[in-house]
Amino acid sequence: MTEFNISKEFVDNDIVIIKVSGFLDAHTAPKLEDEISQLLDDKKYKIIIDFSSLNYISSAGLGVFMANIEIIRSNGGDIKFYNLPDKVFEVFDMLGFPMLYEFYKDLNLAIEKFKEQSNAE
Amino acid sequence: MLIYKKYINKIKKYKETAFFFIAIFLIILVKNYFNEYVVKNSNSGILTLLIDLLTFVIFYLSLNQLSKIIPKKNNLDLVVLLFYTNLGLTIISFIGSLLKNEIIFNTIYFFFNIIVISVNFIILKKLYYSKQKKNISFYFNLMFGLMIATAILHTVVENISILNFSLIIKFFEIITFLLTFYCATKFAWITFLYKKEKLFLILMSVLIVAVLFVNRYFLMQDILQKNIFFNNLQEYNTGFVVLYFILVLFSTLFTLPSADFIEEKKRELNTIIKFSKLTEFVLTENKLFENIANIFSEFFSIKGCWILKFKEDDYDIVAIENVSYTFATKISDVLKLSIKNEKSFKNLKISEQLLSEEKKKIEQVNVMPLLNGDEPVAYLCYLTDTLYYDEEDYAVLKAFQDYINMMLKNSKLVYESIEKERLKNELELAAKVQKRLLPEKDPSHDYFEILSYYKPAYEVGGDYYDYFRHDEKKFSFLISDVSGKGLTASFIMSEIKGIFTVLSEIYNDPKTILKKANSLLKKILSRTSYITGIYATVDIQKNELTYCRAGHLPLLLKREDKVIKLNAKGIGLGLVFDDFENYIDTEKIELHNDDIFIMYTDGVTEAMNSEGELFGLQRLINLVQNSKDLKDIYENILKEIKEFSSENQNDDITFILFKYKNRGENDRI
Repeated sequence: MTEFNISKEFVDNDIVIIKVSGFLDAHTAPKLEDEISQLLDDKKYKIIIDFSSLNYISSAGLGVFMANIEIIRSNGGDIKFYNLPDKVFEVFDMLGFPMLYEFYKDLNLAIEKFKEQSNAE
Repeated sequence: MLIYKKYINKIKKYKETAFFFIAIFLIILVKNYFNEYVVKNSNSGILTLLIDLLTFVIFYLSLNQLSKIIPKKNNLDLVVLLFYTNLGLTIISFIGSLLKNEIIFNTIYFFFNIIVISVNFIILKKLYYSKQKKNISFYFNLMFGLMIATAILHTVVENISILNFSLIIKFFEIITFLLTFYCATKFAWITFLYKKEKLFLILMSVLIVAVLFVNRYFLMQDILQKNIFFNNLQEYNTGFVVLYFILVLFSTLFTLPSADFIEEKKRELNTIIKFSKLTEFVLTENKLFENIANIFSEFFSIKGCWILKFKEDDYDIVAIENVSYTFATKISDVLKLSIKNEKSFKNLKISEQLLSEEKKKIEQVNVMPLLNGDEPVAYLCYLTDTLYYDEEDYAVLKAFQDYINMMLKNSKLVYESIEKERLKNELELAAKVQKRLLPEKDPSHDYFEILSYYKPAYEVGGDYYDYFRHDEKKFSFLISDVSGKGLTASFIMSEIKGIFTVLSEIYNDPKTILKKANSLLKKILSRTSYITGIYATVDIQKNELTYCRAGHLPLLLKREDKVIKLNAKGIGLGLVFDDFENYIDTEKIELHNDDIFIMYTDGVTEAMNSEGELFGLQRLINLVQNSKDLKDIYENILKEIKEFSSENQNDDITFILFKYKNRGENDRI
């Protein structure tokens, strides 16, 4: 099993890429939740989640993204998902997440989308 | 015959008593009628011999009788009894010396003397055996036997002057004396006495020896001089008693300084016994503290103690022993700052000013932290009159502290397990209640065959399934899963039951029902939880199944040998609340005879093996494909999941299987 780990990286100072690896379940979800709340406290609302090294996501893991999405969107931000392994995407897909969130294969596209949005404003 | 035997037994029983009285009667007879003669006529050997013989018989019988009467008391009581009987004898001797030669009095005096000798022997024998580990009866019996034998020899030699045994008698006397000396050294019991008892024993020994000397002074030699056997017996007995108590006196004196030590050891032992009894009971912490204070003040020679327990900034005195509450509070006020969170022993000299009100002689206050594991729980404060504690004292105190530590730990564990047990019982009750929210049994129906399985990962879970009957021709199946598991999920599950039961009464269209349920759930769900589910309605008349999938795992359809994933677009409940209908599609399936539908929760597909691998949808599809019938599928799912996860279930597992069997086609024929 891969150790659960979170790392973040800033692009252009207002877009943040959070890389989550390992198992995202009821035990590890609170860590990610803390990380996201920290970003909101710092008024960073443009979040890209990099799931390329995620092995598994449980229902509690999915719940993390729902918790703050309203606040994020009302502040002109969003959560976008990037580089999901097929198995993980299936879980998101089954639940209907693609109807609510954007999923990208290409990181640059996700970043560009954020930039477009801020330009439009 | 029987009556005869009974009498024989009775006679046997009273035989000795009867002999005793006959002997007494005889001796009174002989003494009263022949005493004058005996005293005057020194050659009446046979008669004196007869008296001696009777004396021996009486002595023997009184020894027997009295050894039954003298109770099994503790040694000190026996010593006191011995003192009183000898004192009594001395008083009678004194009276006798005043009266002189009153025949009746002489007889009474004689009997009393025999009784006292018997008592002396019996008591000394008991003391002799007391606390002896080896069997030493041989020496005592030998000594006693030799005393009797020597006394008899004396009387025989004196009365029948033809024989001369003086050398043998000397020999006998020497051996008797040596044995007496040996037997007089058997007083192991004095080691086990408390200091006070030892002091009392010293007093008693002095008194007994004194009384016996006085007695000897008043002893009516002239009455007894012709009673040679008795005379000698009396001599030996007195000698033995005096020797025994002189030795007891000295050895008690010598062991007096160590009495304190023995006392302490004894007290330690008692404390340990008390303590171990205490651990058998489940005590609340405060009750435990009270007992600790009580035992501690009994155990150590201290001038009072109390236990204080910190409570945020303040403290409580939870137990107090032999000291006034006000004094304890005064000292605690001084102490509290220096001992808080302290884990080691502390002591403090008490100032004159603080002491002025206490009358007791106190020098210092000592503090023993009472630990539970490594955490100080409370502090035992005790007052002493010495400033100094040696290492041994400290070791005992440390042992005491360890013992309390263990007790506190035990008490905590017991209470925790009681609490756990209580919670477990409540969860079991909750599990029972939840079980009642699910269908009692799978309904039997002309058009369906239904099998279901439900097993929560913990006592209660968030999975839910149900069947609804809208009208004669329409039936619905529902399976749902609340995100998360355990107690929180189970509360939401019971809400869902209510929502769907009511909605299914009003509506019969899956999409409407899910839409209404979604908006009702907005108030119930927290922002991070959601619900997935499939609502499927079967219309028997139209031979049609209509379903909506709200973010749930695909509905599986086994038709002939194929397994079809029914995966209509649909979002989980609780994710969006505006325009929910846009996020969910309805799909209609035409039903064939023998179609089997499989609804399941992620407990099935996400069963995990030891390597963290998931069971997965594909394995489920394969096993369904390879199974023949409903029962077959049911058993294979359970079997394969069990094998895969090696029985480690970490999510609620639920599935419903139903087979459609419309006989409409037959009707048409």
